[in-house]
Amino acid sequence: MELQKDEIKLILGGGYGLLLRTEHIRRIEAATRFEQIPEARSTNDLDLFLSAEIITSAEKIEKIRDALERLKFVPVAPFFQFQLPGVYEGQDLPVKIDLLAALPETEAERSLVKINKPRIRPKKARNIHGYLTEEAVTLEENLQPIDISEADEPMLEVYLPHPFSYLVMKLFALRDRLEDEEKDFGAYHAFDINRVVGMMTENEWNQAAQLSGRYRAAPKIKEAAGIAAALFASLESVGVLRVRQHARAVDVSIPPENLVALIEDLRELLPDI
Amino acid sequence: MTRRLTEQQIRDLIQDLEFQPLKITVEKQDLEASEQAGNGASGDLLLNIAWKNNAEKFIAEVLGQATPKQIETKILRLEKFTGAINSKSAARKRFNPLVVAPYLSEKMLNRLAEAEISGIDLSGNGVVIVPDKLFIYRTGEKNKFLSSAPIKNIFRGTSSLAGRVFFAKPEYENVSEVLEEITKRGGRTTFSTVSKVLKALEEELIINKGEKISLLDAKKLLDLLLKNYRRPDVRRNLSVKCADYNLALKQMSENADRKKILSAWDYPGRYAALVQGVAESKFYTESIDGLLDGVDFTETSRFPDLTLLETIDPTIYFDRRKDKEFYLLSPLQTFLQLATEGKREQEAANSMIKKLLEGKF
Repeated sequence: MELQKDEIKLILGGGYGLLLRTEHIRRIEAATRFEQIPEARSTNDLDLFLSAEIITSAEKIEKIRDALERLKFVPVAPFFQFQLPGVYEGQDLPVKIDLLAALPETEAERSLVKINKPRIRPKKARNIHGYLTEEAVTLEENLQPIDISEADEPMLEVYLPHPFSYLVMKLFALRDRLEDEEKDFGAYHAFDINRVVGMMTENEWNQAAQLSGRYRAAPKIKEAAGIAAALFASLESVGVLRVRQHARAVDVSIPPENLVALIEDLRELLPDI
Repeated sequence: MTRRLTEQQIRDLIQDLEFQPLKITVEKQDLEASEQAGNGASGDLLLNIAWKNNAEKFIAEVLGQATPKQIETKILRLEKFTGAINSKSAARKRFNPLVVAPYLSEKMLNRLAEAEISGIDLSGNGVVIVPDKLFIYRTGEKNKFLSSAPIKNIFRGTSSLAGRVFFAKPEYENVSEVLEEITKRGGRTTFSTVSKVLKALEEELIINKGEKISLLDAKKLLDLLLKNYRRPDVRRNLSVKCADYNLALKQMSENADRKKILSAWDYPGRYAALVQGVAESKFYTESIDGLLDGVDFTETSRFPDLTLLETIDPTIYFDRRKDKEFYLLSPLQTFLQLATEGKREQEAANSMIKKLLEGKF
């Protein structure tokens, strides 16, 4: 709420962003690419993306740092991962916030940040930075504002990345977890890719097609296209198998025609040239 | 391999009936008239069942197939018969009632146990009761014998129309009236099929065939229709985007009327509240080309306005409901489709059950 007062735009990605998106789609009764959208998985991890405006401004990012301190969040991975201890039904259930940021697009913006991979922060900012997420190339394109206030509360707006941005980021996340047994071989990321495609509205599809055209030459988008081509080439490809693996684990049935559509859609949005 | 048994085959198999640790022997086949209770009640076999140093006589009734109705009938007959014969016998000579069938489900065994009547099947299940002396209960063995209803599956395909029609109208004067109602609601079947299905439904205690034919257990009928439901066999489907959606609907409606093409709009929102909106309209039709004749459209797989599914499945067009210009799928068919889809659709299906059971659609 305080950050909103300071006109600091909060962009929520990750699982929680998808959860909000699912609820939003249901609330507005939007027609989506797939008729059946599986329930969103609940999560206590918030992926908070810092826009270029924030990551290039020490003053603005420090407002976020101060707000986290006031809310009793403590840094876990200094200073881009924070945690608020919490207990739910007798079990420790902390809320975690990861601060992430895309690489600023222009040379002028890049001159305002200090990068020490994987960290990125505005020059002069202290005790706060973001985790550099280079694949978030289109992060600020077609952001979707969502009011998350409860009834009787003043409007509280956060922004969700466009499904195209989500797709690109989730493809990288899947590739990075593909061999990670502890992370379920990235199966939930693969499932999220299916959900992102399935939840696209017609308008979002058209926007995604435009973004695909505009950013086709960007190295990270090309890389994403390569990942999609490798992991979602056919029904037997490992990405599709991971989707099915997670669907089985959460007892969700995915119609085979949706998996075929998923492959076609990825091919169209992220052609591997 | 499963097979349906004749009564003689069952009787032959009873000679070697095993139910460890009991030893079962057939003492007499076809009890003679002099041995009958003399009040119309009768038994089929006299069995001796022994264990350790004990033995008891059982009057057994043989069932070719144990349907709920036949079990209830046998319970009544055996209660009457053993009651009558025991009252005539000396105290030391007591006869216990027993049912023998190719297969007795757990539900049936429980029903028999409740009535204190023994039951043994040829598949390895059974309950043997001698009051105050013996109680053995064994279940879990699969049916080794074919036990389907007289016709293949009365809850699927054309045969299911005779059951489905009870959700539109729950009471009939006779079989002809049931057939008439099916025909009136767009179903095509024969007197013989309807008659056989009704007999099977009666055996399952789903309908009652007394002075009138009436629905007895709507919930069981709905459960069995759902359990046996299969999606219609769609031979072709086409997703399209129309140049003018409303104009397309109008043209399709005209085509359906003029060319007598069966079609039905899958529109769950008409009967149930659905949380998630579905943009495209889904139509079942026996001819996609006929229905789309003169409609300006382009084929697309993404975000179509209309999806057409071509099928000649009779259950799809049965009991369609006219809604303005179009026919909608019947409430029952809509329920069955929703109930076999995702979680949210199942919730929508659940919201329809009460009205379906009360015949209020």
